[in-house]
Amino acid sequence: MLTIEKLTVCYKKQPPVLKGLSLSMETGKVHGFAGLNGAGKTTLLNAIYGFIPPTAGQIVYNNQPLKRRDIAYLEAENYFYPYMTAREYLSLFPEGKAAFDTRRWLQLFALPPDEITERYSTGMRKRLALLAVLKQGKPILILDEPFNGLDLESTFLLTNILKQLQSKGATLIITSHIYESLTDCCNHIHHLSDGIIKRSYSPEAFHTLKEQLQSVIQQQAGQLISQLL
Amino acid sequence: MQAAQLYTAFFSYICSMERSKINTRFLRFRIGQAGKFFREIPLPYLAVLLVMAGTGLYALHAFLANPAGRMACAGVLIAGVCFVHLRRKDYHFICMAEERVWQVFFADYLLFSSPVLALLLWRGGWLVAMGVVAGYAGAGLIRQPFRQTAKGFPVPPFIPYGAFEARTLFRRYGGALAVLYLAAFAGLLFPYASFAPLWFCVVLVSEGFKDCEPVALLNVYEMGSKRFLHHKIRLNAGLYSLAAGPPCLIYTLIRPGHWPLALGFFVLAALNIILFIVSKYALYDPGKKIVSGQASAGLSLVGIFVPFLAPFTLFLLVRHYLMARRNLTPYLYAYD
Repeated sequence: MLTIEKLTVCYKKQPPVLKGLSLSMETGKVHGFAGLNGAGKTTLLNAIYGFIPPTAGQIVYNNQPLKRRDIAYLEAENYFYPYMTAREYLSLFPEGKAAFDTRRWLQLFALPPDEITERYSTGMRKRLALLAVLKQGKPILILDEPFNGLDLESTFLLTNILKQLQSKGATLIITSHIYESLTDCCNHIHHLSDGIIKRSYSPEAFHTLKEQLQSVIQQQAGQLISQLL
Repeated sequence: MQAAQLYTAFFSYICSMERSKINTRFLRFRIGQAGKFFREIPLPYLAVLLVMAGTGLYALHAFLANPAGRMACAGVLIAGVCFVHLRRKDYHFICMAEERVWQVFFADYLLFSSPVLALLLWRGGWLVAMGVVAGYAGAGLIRQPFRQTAKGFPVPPFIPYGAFEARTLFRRYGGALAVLYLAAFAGLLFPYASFAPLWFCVVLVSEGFKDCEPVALLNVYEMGSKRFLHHKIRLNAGLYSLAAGPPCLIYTLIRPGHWPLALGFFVLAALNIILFIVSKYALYDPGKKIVSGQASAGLSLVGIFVPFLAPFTLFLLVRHYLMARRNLTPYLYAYD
C-alpha cells in the first residue's frame, strides 16, 4: 500500500498548493489523477518523487517511508543533453531486474538509435524518455502527462505497456488531461481539486462524470461562446 | 624599407576600403558593442583584466623580439581567427544582412586584434604582420557549413557513456580537437609550441560543460550531491589525464629542463577542467545553458599561462565546489 498522510506542500512563502492531502493507493494498480490546470497534480507527483520536501505529512510505502530509489519518474516536459543520441541516453540508465533489450525497444518505438535527440519530434522525445523510465524496472512509476504529444499508435502502445506493467505488479501513478486515456488504462481515478482529493472514481464512473461535465459546460458556456464568435 | 612601403600602401588600401565599401554602420555597431562589453565589466574585474592585458602585452613584446616568436604569434593569430570564424554564431546572420560579407569579417578580425598587430609592427615584424592581415582576409572567405553532419564526429569507443559531456563534445568539436591534438604532438619538435594547441583544447573542453543535463540524468547514479560531484570529477579528470598526459610526458622526456613548465601546465589545466565541472553544477539549472560566470572562467583559463593567477583558479574552484553541493542538494538530497 502506498499511503499519503496529510500531505501539505508550500512553495516558499506562498499559500499551500497541497492542503493536508490524504490518500491510500493500492500497489500493483494504475492510479490516475485528474484535475483542472493548477490543481496541484504535478506538485503532488513531485512531492511523491521527493523533488519537493513536504511542509507537513508523509508518504509511506509498504509501512516504510517512501524512498526515491523505488521510483522512476517521467516528467511532463522532456529534454535531453545536446548532441546526445538515443542509444547514449538509454545506456546511462541502470537496468532493473529484468533484462532490457534496448535495440528491440527502440525498434518498437520507432526511434533511430544513433540520431541526435535534438532532431527528434516532441512525440519521439516523449517515447525516448518513457523508455528510460521502463528500463529502470522500478516498482513505482510516476508518469506526468505521458500521453501528451503521442500519436494514436504510440498511445495504444503505451496503454498496452501500462496494462502489462500493472499485471507484473508495478504501481503506476499517472496524470493526464486526455481523459479517454485515463479511463482506458487506470483502475482508480482520483479527482484533485483545491489541494485535496475530492473523490476517487472507477473508470466507468469517471467516464459518466466526464459526460455530465461536458453537457454542463455546453449548456452554460455554449450560448456565450456563440455570442462571442 | 620596401616592405614598409608595401605595408603602408596595403594598409591605406584597407583603410579606404573600410571608408568606402564596408558597411560603416556595422563597424560602428561593433565598436559600440566593444564599448558596452567593457562598460559592463565591474571595476575590480576591469582593473584585473587591464593588469593582465598589460602583463600579457609586455610578455608578448619580449616574445616578439626574435623572428621565431613573431612567426609563432602570427600562426596562433591566424589559427585562432580561423577557429573563431568557423564557430561564430552570427556568420549566417551577417551573410544575410551584408553584401560584402568577407570584408565585414576581415574588418572584425583586424579591429579586435589591432593591439597585437600594432605590437608586431612596433617590433619590426612588417612582413609577418602583412602575412597575418592576408591570413585574416583568407579567413573571411572561409564558408561555414550550415549544419553539422547527421551523426557528428565519430566518438572514440574508449570514452564511457557516463562521460556524456566528453562524448557530445567530441561529436560537436571532434574535428577541431583532433587537429589541435595532432598539432600538439607536431609542436613537440619546438620548445613551448605544444602548449598553445593544448590550451585551445582545454578552451574547447570548457564548451562541453556549459549545458545542463535533465534531472533524470542527475538521478541515474543515485548518489548524494557530494558523491555525485566526486564521481564526475574522477571520471573527467581521468579522461583528461589520458588525453593530456602523453604530450606533456613526451615533452618532458625530450626537454627535461622544461619539466616545471609541463607539470605546471598539466596541473593548471586539470584544475581548470575540474573548475568547469563544479561551475556547471554550481549554476545548474535543468535543461538550460550556463551563460553567467564566463568572465571568471576566461580569467582562469588565461591563468594556465600566467601562474600567478593560480590562487584565483583555486579560489574559484573551492567557491564553486561549495556552491555546487548546495545547488545540487534539492535534486539529490533523497540519496544522502
